[in-house]
Amino acid sequence: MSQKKEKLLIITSFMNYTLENDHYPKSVYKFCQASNMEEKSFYKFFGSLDGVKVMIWETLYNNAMSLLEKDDNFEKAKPKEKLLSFYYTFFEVMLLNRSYILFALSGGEKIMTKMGQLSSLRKTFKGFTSELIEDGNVDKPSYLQHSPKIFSEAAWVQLGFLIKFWIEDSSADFEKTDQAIEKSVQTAFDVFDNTPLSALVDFAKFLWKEKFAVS
Amino acid sequence: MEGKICSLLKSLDYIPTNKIARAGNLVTTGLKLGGNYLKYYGEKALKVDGSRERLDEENAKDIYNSLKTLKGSALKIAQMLSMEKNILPRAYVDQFSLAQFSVPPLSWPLVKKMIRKYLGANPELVFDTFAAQSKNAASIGQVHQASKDGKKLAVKIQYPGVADSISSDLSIVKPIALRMFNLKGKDTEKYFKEVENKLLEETDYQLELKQSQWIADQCKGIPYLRFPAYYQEYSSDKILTMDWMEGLHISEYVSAQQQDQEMNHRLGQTLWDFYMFQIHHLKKVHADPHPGNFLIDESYNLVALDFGCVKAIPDDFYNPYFELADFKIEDNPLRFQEILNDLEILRTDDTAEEVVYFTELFGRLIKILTLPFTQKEFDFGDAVFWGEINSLSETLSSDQRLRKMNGNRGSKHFIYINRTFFGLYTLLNDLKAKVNTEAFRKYC
Repeated sequence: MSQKKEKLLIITSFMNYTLENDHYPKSVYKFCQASNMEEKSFYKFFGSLDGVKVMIWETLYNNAMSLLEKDDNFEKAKPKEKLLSFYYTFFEVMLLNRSYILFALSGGEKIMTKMGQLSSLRKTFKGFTSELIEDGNVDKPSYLQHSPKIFSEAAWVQLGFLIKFWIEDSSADFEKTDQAIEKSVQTAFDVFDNTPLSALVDFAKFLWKEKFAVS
Repeated sequence: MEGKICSLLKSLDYIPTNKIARAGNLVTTGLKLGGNYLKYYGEKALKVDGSRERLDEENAKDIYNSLKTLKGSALKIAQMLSMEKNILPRAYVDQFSLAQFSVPPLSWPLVKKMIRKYLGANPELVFDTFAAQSKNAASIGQVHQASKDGKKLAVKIQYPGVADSISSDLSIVKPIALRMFNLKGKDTEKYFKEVENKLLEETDYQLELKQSQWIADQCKGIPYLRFPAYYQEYSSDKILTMDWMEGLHISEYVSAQQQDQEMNHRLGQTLWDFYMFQIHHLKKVHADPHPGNFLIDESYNLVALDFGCVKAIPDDFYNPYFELADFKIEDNPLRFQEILNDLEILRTDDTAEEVVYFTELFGRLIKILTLPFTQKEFDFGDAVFWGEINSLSETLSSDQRLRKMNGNRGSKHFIYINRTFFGLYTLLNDLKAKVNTEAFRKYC
């Protein structure tokens, strides 16, 4: 078995264990016992159980990216299209693992407090958005350029918001998440491009109905 | 218009699905309308000529501007209004007609995602080619050009969240409609239900596919009439794939310089036969005859598109309605009242005054609207006929007595049937067509 496959097998076993037992494995020993695996082969790839949790998110990101890169047009697309494409694909990949994600991110606490397992996703995602911002800066005079550092952080907050929205979304086919993506990215790029904030108003109204209005 | 549409073709998505956003839009319209009327009365006091027309134009623009941001079913309502040329002033019609062609499209990544979601793979894998830019926007979806195995296809993609927003749209329009038509009493709900159900049906593309194929198959005996083929394997609830049809929309065709009146008569005849065949034989009718739903191809064939709105005509409506067509009221006034009762035009709680008034009014209305049925050949370009329709709608809109009476009357089936006839007559008038009213019987 290739190293990559072996690693993936551990991750899948970890997710299955968690879902079937309704809790994370309590120790590497217990996890390996349940999965018929030697501890040695676990430690070959991961230092701790938390390491697996982090790797799950990184794998989701990588899966989305490799899907996107199969499309020749993706490289040529504008930053806004790239970000939209990423979100739609990322949430499709997440959908395949929705049960695990609901488990991993729910439980009374706020998403942002569960940052530990998202640390690696955060780093790679911020790397991706920094590039987009730098691409967007190319033809702009220096006073209109945006700091990749600040704006990639903002993009991360947006992703956090979208994940939260998706977790709570009960519409058929998660249609509402699609709308939230479309509108929030539109808004973000309005801010980015210094255009009038019409999309912001639209987005705010959408949120108002979805999140606050009593229907 | 070209420039206007181009400026709207920014790839941004702007569907305010929520009640607050929509209500907000309508409120702005209300405020602006108020302003325009103020201007009108100001100008009227100063006796400025043509100010009435300017008022209509400004109002229409304001209404259109707020409606176009609504997309979805509110846009559908704008389309319905736009067909009733004789009820609405001309300026409104022109603005509303714009609504049929220009709304900002969805972003390309979202289009891709929807194709992936509903057809299983990226558009470039499902099709041989797929245009990223949508060709035109319908009220609840947008159309992309694609190709597969050398065939040009039109792929219609529904805006996400449309079905969801229909009920909230209607609940906004409802109080306005109640006041506009003076609807009173308990059972006004049936009219809104009828509209809501039909709009919901239109969001079901699987149903549309079935209806289209069925009607196309039934109507294959009618000459000079074409339908696109529909492709089940590239369609789903939210995506509908059909042949790409070349041709001009009827509205574009009739505004073109050169026209062959003989061909227009033939087109009119085809249109008439198509509708009469559906109404009298199939008892199911394409209830959306607005100019955007018909194309005229280079050999002057009529191409019928968009079977989202098909109205079934039940016998208990069909029989009294068409009995009226051949009816001489003077011969049998009692039977006439019976029919009006069957069609729910007269209510059991009507006062004597209301009975007399509505019997007289509907007598007039029906005489005019069914006039084409009573003659072997009918000229829809006839100015006298349109003059009568106009003067009747003038009465309907300005009669003070009518305003005070309960408007909650008439079978719910009237809504779509009247809309169909109005749309049909308007298209025939645009073509200045002379038709043989009986010719359709040979296809039955």
